[in-house]
Amino acid sequence: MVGAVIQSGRVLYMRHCSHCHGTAGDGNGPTAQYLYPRPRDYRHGVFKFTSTNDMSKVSREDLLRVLRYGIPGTYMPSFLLMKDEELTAIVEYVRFLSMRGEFERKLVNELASDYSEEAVESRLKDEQRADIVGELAKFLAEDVPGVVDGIGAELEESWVAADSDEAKIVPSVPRVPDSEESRRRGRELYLSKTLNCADCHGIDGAGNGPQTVAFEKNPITNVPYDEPGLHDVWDNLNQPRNLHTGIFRGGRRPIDLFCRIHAGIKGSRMPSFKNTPHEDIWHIVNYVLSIPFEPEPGATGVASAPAAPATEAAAPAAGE
Amino acid sequence: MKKFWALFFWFWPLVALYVCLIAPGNNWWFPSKPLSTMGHQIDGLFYLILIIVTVTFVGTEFALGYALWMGATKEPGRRAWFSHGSHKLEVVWTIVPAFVLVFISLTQLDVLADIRVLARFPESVKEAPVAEVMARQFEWRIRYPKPGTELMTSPQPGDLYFVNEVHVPATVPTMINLRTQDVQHAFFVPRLRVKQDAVPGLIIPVWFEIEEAGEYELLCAELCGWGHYKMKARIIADSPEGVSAYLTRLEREQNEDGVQEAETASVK
Ligand code: HEC
Ligand code: HEC
Ligand SMILES: [Cu+2]
Repeated sequence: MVGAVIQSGRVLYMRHCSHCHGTAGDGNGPTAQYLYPRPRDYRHGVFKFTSTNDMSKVSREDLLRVLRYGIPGTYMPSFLLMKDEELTAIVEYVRFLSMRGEFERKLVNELASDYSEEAVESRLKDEQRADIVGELAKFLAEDVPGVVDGIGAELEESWVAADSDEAKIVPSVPRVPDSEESRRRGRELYLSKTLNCADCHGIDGAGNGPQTVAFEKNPITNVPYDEPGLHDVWDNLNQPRNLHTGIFRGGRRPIDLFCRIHAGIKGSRMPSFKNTPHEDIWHIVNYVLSIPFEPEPGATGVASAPAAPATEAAAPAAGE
Repeated sequence: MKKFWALFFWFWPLVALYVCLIAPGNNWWFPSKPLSTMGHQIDGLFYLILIIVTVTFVGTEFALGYALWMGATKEPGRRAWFSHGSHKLEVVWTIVPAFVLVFISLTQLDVLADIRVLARFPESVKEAPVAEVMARQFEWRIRYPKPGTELMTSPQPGDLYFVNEVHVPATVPTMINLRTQDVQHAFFVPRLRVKQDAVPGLIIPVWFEIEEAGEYELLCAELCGWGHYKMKARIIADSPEGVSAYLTRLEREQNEDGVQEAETASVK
């Protein structure tokens, strides 16, 4: 039976995951409110720690990895002791919840512009209710089936593509051997104006760059957030990582960090640096991996004098 | 009917005696035979205490039955004897249990010292923990030293990390450093009879010598929060060569740069 895997995944998900991630995958189960970062809300179809390109979805392999090893430094636990077939079933169910959530969001967006309560209210000023209802009925009967098919096809394409070889990040050069020189180059790039990691992560990598004190506005409602700092697509405060802890949530293999920098951390404010030459990314990886062991913060020297990165946001200011 | 209660209270100590006699042979007390060297001594202590409490239980129950029997068969007119306030009796039943308790505490001192006192650990493990086991709500995070180096208390470049699975050598004494990142937890391996609290701020060395290679369940035995029940891991006991092969594999995996991996995949 086609749905059997998803059905058994559902049972396991309800037992092991739903109290954090919610029965519908909205990341709002009963234990969620006590956690920071919040459990993932799957309904955006966005996952942070992937081995796929910045525009691609998460692959099955990535989800499996997260389940096996957990996300260190957060409350997402490891489910290593579960059987492989149990894990694959849960992965299918998580994918199902993501697709369902995304589907519903897209459908709602499709209708919201013309038929949301607000939209209808403002339209009522110069239109008759009966006309609007009639128009809606026509829209539902004639256009929506096509819209539904379109969203479905779009989702299918992107989720299938995520498991393909094209979506996977493969560095064009092997890791540059770790050396003093490479780390220094990495730090230069870290401080450079083009990449400007320090704008978020701070000059010494303590996660306290100027961006963390700037006030942002919610990009949809345009209302400023109460607290300063960056916010992710789930509307939660999204602190740039303190790179001194030695904990890498997406994994500590060089390839993991390569992917983090190449594709960014999706949904979060860690941007993609896919246009950076791969060799340079490896220098940065070597530097990032060495930060926790620096004798003192910022000890890695740079060839030219370490110019402080210029940012307009040095003083608290409205975000972009 | 009065005699019934006397017989009733004589019946149960006989059942208890029978159960206590056959239980060890049937392994009713423990999940399995002890599979670490210290486990045998710990089981020995358990059985010693079992003998003492069985004797005490049977004795007091028989005395209770006796008192009931005497009451049930009392001839009319015979007066009851009141022991309340008897100095002699008070002294006897204070001193006898005190001796029993002192005896138990002295007998177990050696075993306790072998488990807890670093100076009495086997020479080969004293300075050489194989891994750091870090408990956290609600999982076990493991850190091995880079193969060929020693484990340091703080993370070092090249350290190897894993979660919820510890590989340790079997048939040789082994030591791990137990820590916790948040609240109290306890490192409990029932089949090895190893149980040690992890206390915030302390690094607690725990040693054991596993007798048989295999997989052992590691549980948290200190109520540490709502997810306590799922704080489970496995210990894989393997030959020393097997463990170093595992660590080599782990080191290779941890250094993956996604390029060699792609090459080997295309060769297959
Ligand atoms: C104790 C609460 C908790 C439980 C239980 C839990 N998670 Fe999570 N999970 C989290 C948190 C918190 C995060 C977010 C971490 C972050 O944003 O860095 C997360 C993130 C995730 C992610 C996103 C990974 C990514 O790359 O974005 C997936 C997938 C996931 N969990 C799946 C599961 C599944 C499946 C289960 C059940 C088998 C489960 N989780 C159980 C708390 C939990
Ligand atoms: C616009 C702000 C911003 C910039 C610029 C930025 N980061 Fe980040 N970075 C973040 C945020 C936010 C996170 C935390 C994401 C999360 O887990 O939700 C993060 C996380 C990380 C992590 C942690 C990954 C893990 O697995 O735990 C690393 C490493 C990192 N950034 C490195 C860099 C490097 C190197 C650069 C420059 C090339 C950089 N960042 C530029 C915001 C930024
Ligand atoms: Cu615990």
